[in-house]
Amino acid sequence: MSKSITIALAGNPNSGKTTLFNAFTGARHSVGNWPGVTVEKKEGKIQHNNAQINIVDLPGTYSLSPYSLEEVVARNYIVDESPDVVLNIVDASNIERNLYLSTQLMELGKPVVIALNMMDVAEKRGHKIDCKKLSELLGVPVVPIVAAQKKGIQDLLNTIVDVSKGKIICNPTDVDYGKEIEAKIKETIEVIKDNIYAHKFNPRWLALKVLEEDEAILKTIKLNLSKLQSHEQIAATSEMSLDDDFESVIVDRKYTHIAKIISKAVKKPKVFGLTTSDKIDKVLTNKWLGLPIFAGLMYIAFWFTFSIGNIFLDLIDGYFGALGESVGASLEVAGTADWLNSLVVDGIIGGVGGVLTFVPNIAFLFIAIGILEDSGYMARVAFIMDRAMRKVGLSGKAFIPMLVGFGCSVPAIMGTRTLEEENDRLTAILVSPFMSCGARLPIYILFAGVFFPGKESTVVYSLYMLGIVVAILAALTFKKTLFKGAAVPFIMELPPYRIPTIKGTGIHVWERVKAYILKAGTVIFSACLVIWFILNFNLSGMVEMQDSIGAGIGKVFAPIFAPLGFGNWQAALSLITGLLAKEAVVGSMAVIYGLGEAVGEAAVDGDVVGFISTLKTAGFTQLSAYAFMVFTLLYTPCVAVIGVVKRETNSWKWTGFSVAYQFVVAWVIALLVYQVGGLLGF
Amino acid sequence: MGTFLTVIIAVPIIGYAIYALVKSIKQEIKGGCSGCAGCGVKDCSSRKED
Amino acid sequence: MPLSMISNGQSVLLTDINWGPKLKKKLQDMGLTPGVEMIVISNDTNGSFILKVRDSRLVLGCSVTQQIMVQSIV
Repeated sequence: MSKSITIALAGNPNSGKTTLFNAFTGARHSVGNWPGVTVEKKEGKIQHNNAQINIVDLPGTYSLSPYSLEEVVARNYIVDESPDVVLNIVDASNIERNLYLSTQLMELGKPVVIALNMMDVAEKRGHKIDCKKLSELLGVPVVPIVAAQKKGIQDLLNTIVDVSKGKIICNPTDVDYGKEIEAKIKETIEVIKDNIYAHKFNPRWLALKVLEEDEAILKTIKLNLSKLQSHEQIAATSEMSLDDDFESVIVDRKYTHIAKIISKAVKKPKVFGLTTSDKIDKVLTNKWLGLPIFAGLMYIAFWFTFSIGNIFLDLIDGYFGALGESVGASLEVAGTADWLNSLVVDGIIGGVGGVLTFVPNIAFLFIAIGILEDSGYMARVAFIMDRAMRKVGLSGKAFIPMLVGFGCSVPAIMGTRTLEEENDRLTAILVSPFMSCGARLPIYILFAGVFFPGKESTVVYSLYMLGIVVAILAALTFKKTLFKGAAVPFIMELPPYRIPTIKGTGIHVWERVKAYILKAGTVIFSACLVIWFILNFNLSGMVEMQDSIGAGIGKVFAPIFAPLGFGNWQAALSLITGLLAKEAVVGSMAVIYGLGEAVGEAAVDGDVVGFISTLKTAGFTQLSAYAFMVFTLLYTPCVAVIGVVKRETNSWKWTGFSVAYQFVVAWVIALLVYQVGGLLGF
Repeated sequence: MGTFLTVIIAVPIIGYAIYALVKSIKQEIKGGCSGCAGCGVKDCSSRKED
Repeated sequence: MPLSMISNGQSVLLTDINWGPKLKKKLQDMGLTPGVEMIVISNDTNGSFILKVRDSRLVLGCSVTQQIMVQSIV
């Protein structure tokens, strides 16, 4: 008979909570939202020995005050749902600050088990932690683990189960707040003990909250503080002889309590000066060097994506070309209908193959981004960009989700949840898609490769920079007009630098590449089929492409793009398919221009002349190609992104606005590029 | 013979395409990830239960 | 004196936080309590600071550092 217990995971941000949750549940968890709020809720189930354990991941918080949504969600869960165990992740290399949350969790009155994570980092820094002593002094079990290496997990689970069964008793040591406050706490407990709403709370904790005038609590227990104070049952805390306001004193006493415990259980070497991590930071975030270093690193990332990626690109190109030829030949021999032949070779192998050709480049881009992320550098970027962002009215924190947008705009927009100010968040959401997403990359590679051979990295780099510039300018405009408001004060913790593990980063990159390939095999597959169909048929049956439905659609919209230099139906149609998925632009072009064959021929001949002539006959020049790339950089993103914008803003108005204004911005800027470029003689 | 082969090959291809299309439209409406190239980001909240 | 005037590499002790209750509490929750030692790791006079506080690294914007009062450790 297996017993089912529920545990709640609580801890500071960056303490390794997510890593531990994943170590427990693997991929077997569900993600949703806490009811009524845009705070993410993760739950999972695992089996340990004979127990079934439900794990609820609470939002990472530094404290349990009523001031932020995450904190309220976290503490409400613990009080209302009463989990069997509260599993508190504590970063051993940052133990003082982490234990602050622990003291609050222990005061809530539910059983707490502390998982002391990142023991390896602490050891490296020369911190010696006596877990037994720590456990004694705190009054709760302390289990050392290294979540990233899955060390100590079994012990941890055993401890949790033992606590839930009562085999281990949690007896948290109370923080001593000093005579005066302790007396007040006793008085308050007396007054509220008969309150009918108070029974689910730990009395001492509740008394403290009442004294802190915690609005959320006062409302829950329906306590009118001023009424009680006027009856002199609980004196207002301002009447105490404290050297600071009540809340500050409470915080201070907690830290004093923690410091005492640490002095007895933890030995730290006295570090004179800065750690290696700090020294690196001094350089990377230097006033003058920071920005150029960032720009430089980004350039290297692109160069890497191209020069190494392109080696594989040519290989895969050739492969698909050859595949197309041999399949085409076999089908002919087998005597299948011509249209099927075309469908398979031009539509599928050409279209989907065209998209898959770029997998190496995408992979390398993700590797570069992954290394920057996993090493912890991305957080520094927020700091470096803060100065530039301030001038636009946003804080550097807004830049981080935007950086994520270099991979895909969807998580970038979801990442804006970290911005507390609603105005800042909306601005970030509206501006994120200008950060060129990974799916747009194949378009650049194709056109840059054909029209700017030898200069591909520079060209693509310029596009990405343009995206950043447009994003910043757009943010500036929004902040000055629609979303006026002062920038939120910037407070952020920097995680320590880590050397990204090949395994860790490799898994991330693999997941993204897998998603890309999967997408090619599903959405793009069907899209290419549809595109092939509309390009080879019209109402009277199979026809030449010029007369097909697809061409017809394209011709309707082509005039819009004429002033931009690419007023041909092929470009127009491809751009329209890009609304479904940006990869489809390349897919469409592959089908339209029979690139599958051209690639095959080029590979056989050993040169890329085939491409150039094919694209050039469509009317593209170097300048119009660049204008085209600028347009694809900036215009309306794919339906997945539009969907996320709708979900995150909860407003059709803003979703519609973002669709329209991004199209307009793309159009205007591409226009400028083409016309001004023409005047300048390009 | 050719027509027979044509059918054998065409039907699964077109069938699969329709299936993939419908599935991604359904997922889109439900709010799930339709596999955008960034879905591998650890905090992408639209990842469904595996 | 305000933290914003402290230069790179200096160690200081926090004396006071002149800010509204919400932000003050947020800073305190992250370890900035009276008497705590802080080291300035990186100081960008027009922008933000990177500080070392209780073993953690915090970034504080300039509007924030102007409201944190400290005294230098001689």
